[in-house]
Amino acid sequence: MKWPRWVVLAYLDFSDTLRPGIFDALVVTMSLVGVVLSYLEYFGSSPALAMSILSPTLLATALYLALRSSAGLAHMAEDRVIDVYLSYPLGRSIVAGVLLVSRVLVPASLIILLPALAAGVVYSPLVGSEALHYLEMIGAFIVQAVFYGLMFSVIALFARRGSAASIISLLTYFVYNILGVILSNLAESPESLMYKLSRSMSFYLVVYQRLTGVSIASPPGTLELCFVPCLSLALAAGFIAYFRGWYEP
Amino acid sequence: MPRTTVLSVENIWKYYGRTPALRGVSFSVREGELVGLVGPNGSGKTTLIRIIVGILRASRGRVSLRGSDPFREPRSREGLGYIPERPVLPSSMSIRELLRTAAMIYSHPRPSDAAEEALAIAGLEGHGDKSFDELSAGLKQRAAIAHALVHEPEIIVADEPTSNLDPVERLKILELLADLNTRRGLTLLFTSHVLAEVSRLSERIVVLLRGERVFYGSPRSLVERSRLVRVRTSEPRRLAYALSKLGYSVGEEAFSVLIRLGSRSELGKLLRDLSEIAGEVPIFSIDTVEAALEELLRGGAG
Repeated sequence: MKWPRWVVLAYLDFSDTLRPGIFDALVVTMSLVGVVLSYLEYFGSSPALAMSILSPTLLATALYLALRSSAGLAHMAEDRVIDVYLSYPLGRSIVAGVLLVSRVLVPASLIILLPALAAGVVYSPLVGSEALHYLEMIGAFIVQAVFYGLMFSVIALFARRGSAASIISLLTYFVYNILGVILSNLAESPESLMYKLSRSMSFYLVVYQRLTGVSIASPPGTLELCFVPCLSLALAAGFIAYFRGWYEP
Repeated sequence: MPRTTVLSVENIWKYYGRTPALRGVSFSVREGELVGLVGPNGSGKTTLIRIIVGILRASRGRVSLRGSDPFREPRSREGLGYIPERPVLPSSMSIRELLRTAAMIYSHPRPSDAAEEALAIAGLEGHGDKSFDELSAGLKQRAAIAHALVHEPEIIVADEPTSNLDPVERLKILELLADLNTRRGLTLLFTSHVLAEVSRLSERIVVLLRGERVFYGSPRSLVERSRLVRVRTSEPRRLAYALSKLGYSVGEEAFSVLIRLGSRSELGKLLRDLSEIAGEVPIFSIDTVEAALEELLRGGAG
């Protein structure tokens, strides 16, 4: 069977992404902590279950993406493996797309899905009755993780050194989350733009509140629902456009 | 019958910030030709090679590889094999699997056969199951060559393919490249800072200095126009004295004497004189090739 070239390149790159390491084992362990802790809680709904399990997993995913994916991308430029990719007869936008899929989308999805599936099996009666809501929550967490990964990938393009890319990525992650808290505290009312902006920075929270109606004065509007997905699309488009037209490793 | 031009480089400029790394470099490589790109470290060889492969973008000028721009048009890289300066390949799989995967990227109809053939040509039999990281420096270089050959390219662009290798391995790699050119008709463009190495293989050479082309022609024409000769000896002072007494313009170096001839025709006389002096002063080698490059780089010719 003849595979499309981009699929073969993705296979090549993904085999590098999935190279086992101690850190990866740590990520898996951390992501499963949520599942273990979930035994101590009672969950009234499947979104609450997903929220409880996937919140620590999201942190683990963000750390993985900063320390492995972002650093890995920058390291590829540093040791010039990227030169090998760019010498293949594939368009630059295809190479960029492959890198995003194999370095961000697939690992982010796998790390989120692993504990989500485990919890889904453990709490199958609850999840089974609200399967769609549970899937929506998983999707929201994946979108949030991919958003972080895209941010880190853009950073990696400019950082050029693996260590610098991981440090700047981690800083960006913490600044982003602290900014959300600051905006939320500064907001005068739940109707204010600042509050909406702070809420929209966490897509999984917006989806959770939309599904459950918990802890909100008003249901999330278009801004909150579109902020992270639109920003993700913009980051992906920016990454591919820059990689295609200007990127020089 | 005139050979087709596989690669043409026209007035290439490359800036890093405001600093020009390449200044209007032009040359072409014809089908089946072996062209050497020579220059000291920092002369812009690697930058030029990376522009030719499509990794970097030229600030000005035009590169045409197999008829199209390698930065914009992926199809121009179909028939290109690239050997980077520091051989580096993904280490996540065995060399055999990597070569097979690379052959698939180039849509080779028989990727497994192509991988085995590339392993054999590059002399990597018995090492196919190792990952790139597990190979020695020489074998890494061979793996990079196998990777460049796996899709049966028309042109190989090799950046310092013999750097970091011991003299024996250097010679073997050079012989392999020469063999690929003569037996398989592969077009080859390779860089080196050792003129003797390049001149042994190349039909034409391009010499770069500070990003500028200072010579373009046959190695023979470069050597023939040179008036510098370096004689290696353990007693440079005695040799310099003996030669200066014979009227030569000499310069003493750590383990050699540099002689500037009035004209190239004086070379025969110098060799005769040296054969007489050799009875008293030990002479290890007489070099007109590297001296010619040195003369060119110092601005004495070109």
